[in-house]
Amino acid sequence: MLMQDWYAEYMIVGCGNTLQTDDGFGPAVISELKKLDLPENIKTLDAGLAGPHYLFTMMAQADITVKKMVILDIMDFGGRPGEITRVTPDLLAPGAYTDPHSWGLKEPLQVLAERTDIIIFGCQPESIDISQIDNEADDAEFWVTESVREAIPKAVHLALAEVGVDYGTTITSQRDLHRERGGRGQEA
Amino acid sequence: MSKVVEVSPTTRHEGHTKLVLRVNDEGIIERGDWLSLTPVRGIEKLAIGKSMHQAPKISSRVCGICPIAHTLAGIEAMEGSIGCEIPDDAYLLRIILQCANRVSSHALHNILSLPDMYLPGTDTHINPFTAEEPVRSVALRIQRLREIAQTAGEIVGGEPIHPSNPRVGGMYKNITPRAKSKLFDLAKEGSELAREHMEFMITVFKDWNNRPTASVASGYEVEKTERFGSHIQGYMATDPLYGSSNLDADPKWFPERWTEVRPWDWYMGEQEITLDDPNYPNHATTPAGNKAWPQMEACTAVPMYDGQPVEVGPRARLAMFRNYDMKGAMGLQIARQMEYTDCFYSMIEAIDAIDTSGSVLADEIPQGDGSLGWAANEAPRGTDVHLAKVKDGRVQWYSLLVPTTWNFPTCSRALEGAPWQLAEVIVRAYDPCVSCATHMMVVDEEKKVVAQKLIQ
Repeated sequence: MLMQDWYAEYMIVGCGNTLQTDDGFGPAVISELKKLDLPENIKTLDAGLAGPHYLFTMMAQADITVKKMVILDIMDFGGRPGEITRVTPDLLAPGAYTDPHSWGLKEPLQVLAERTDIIIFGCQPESIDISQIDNEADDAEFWVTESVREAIPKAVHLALAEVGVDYGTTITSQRDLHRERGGRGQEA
Repeated sequence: MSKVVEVSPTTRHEGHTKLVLRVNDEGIIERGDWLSLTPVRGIEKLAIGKSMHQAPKISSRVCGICPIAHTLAGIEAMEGSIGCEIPDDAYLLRIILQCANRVSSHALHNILSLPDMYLPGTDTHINPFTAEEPVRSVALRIQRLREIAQTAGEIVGGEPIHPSNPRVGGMYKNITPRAKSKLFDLAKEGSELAREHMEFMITVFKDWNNRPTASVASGYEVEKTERFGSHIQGYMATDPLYGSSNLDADPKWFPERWTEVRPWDWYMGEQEITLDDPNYPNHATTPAGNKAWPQMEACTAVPMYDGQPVEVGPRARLAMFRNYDMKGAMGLQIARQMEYTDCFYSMIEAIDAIDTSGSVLADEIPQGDGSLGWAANEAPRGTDVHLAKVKDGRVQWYSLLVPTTWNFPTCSRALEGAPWQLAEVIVRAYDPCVSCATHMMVVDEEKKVVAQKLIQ
C-alpha cells in the first residue's frame, strides 16, 4: 500500500490501551492484520487511545474519501469473554467515543457516520485490569487473556470481510512483523 | 474576606483536572491550586524487569496524545544508561519525528484554545467548527497541518500514533529515496501553511491580550487584570527543538538539580467551598457547602528544579534559547505559534541531510551495567525527562518526569492575580496533557520514597 496519505478508501482501526489487559484487543488485531498483504485501498491503524483526536475528529472535518471504517475494540455487551458483536455507531451508548479534550464534538463517531460507513466489532473482555506484562518476552506487546486471544483470528476474518477481502479459513502470516515493523517509508 | 471556588472538571485539555481557588471580594485569585485527578499511570512499576526494548513501548502507551515524545525519551534514556551512540541518519529521522509530533500537537491545541478567543475586531467568540468563513478556512488549515504532521510521522515512525520504527540503538529502517521526496513535499507544503497560520493565531492572541474584558468560551465577560497569567518562577528547557541526554558532551539537564515533594506539602489543606456560580460555562463550579482537599486529592508529586517550580514548554524554549520575553498566558500561547515554522524548517534541513543508504542502527548495542541514563525530550508541551537504569538488557529502574507534571505547580502560581472566571484560560495556555503526568512514586527532599500509591 502507498502510505502517502493519512486516509484510505477502507480503514480498519484498532482502539484500546495495551497496558490494560483485554483493552489491548483492538491493537492486537491490527498487529495480526499488518502481517498480511492487503489491497492498496485498505489501511490498518493501531489507534491506541488516540482514535478520537488523531482520527475521528479529523475525518469528520476533512475532505476525505473514506468509504468505510471498521473499528475493533472491547465492548461490554454481556456476552461471554471473547465473544464478538457487530454494531453501528447509532447503537453505541452516549460517550463511548467521547473525545478526551471535550472540545465540542461530543460524539465524533456519530458525526463521522453521516459521511462514512462505520462498523464496530466489539469483543467482550474478561479483564481490563493493569496487564500482567510478561517479563521475558521482548517482542510481546499484547497481553490479552486467553479467551480474548482466541477471538483475534475471528476478528481478523470479520474485519477483512467488511472490506471485501476473503483470506479463506486459514490465514498465514506473510511477514515477520518484528523485522518488518517501522520504516513505512519503504513502501511510500 | 476570602472565598473558595472550585472549577471541576476543567475542560478542553487532555485528562482530568480541577481548580481550587481562594479569591478576594473582587473575585481575584489570591491562591490557586490546579491539580490532577487522573488515576496513576503505573509505568515505573510495569517497566521493572522488562527488556530495554520493551519498556519504551510500554511508556508510549501511557498516553494517547504524546506517544512519539515518550517513545523517543524512553529509548534515549535506555541508550543513555547503556552508553549507546546512534548513527547520524537515525538521529535525523528522530528529528523529523520530533517536528511532526510538535506540529500535530500545536495544531490540536489551537482547536482547544480558539473557543476562548475572539474573531479579531469583533466580540464574537471563535467556534472552530462553524461552516462560516473566515473560520472555516482556518479550521481546514489546522486539519491540513495535522494531516501533514501525522503523515510525516507515519512515514518515518512506521506507525503514525505509536511509532514502531525507533528502537534502542537507532531505528529499524532508514527511509527510501522516494519516501524522502514525499517527506520533502509534505514539509514544503507545511512550511507555507505554517507561516500563514502562525500569523493568524498570533493576531488572535494579541487581540485577546489587548481587550479590557474577556470570558471563557461563551460565558459572561469579566474585567481582565494586568499581567494576566504571569508568574515569577524559572524556565526549564534543554534545546530549542530536540532535547538532551547524559551522552551529550555538554548536557543541558542535571538530575541532581531535580527534587520532588509530596502534594501534601505543597497543595492547600481541606477547604470549604463558599462561592459557586450556576452561570459559569458547563455549570462547572462545585456548589457551595461542599469540601475540597487539594493536598489529598492531587494525584501528582510536585517536581522542583533548583528548589522551585519551573515552566516548561514553548515559552521556556524560546526564553532560554531565543531571548523571548513575553509574559502572561498569551505570551505562552504566542510562543507556541512561533514554533510552527521552526518545526518545518528543521524538518526540511533534516530531510535534506539524510543519506537514505546510510546505516540507522548502531554496530554494537551494549547491555548495560546499571548506570543511570536520562533523556530530556522537548515534547510539544515541554521537557519530557525519562530516567532509566539498565543492567544486562533489563530495566532495573525507570522514571518519567513529564511536561505537565512540571507545569502543574508553576501554572498554579500563574493563576494568582487573575479573575477566577478566567482561570481556565490560563490553564489551557499550558496545553495540559495530564494522563502521563500522574504517577505513583512520591519522594522527599532527600529523594527517599515517602509515599506510594499502589495500583489495586
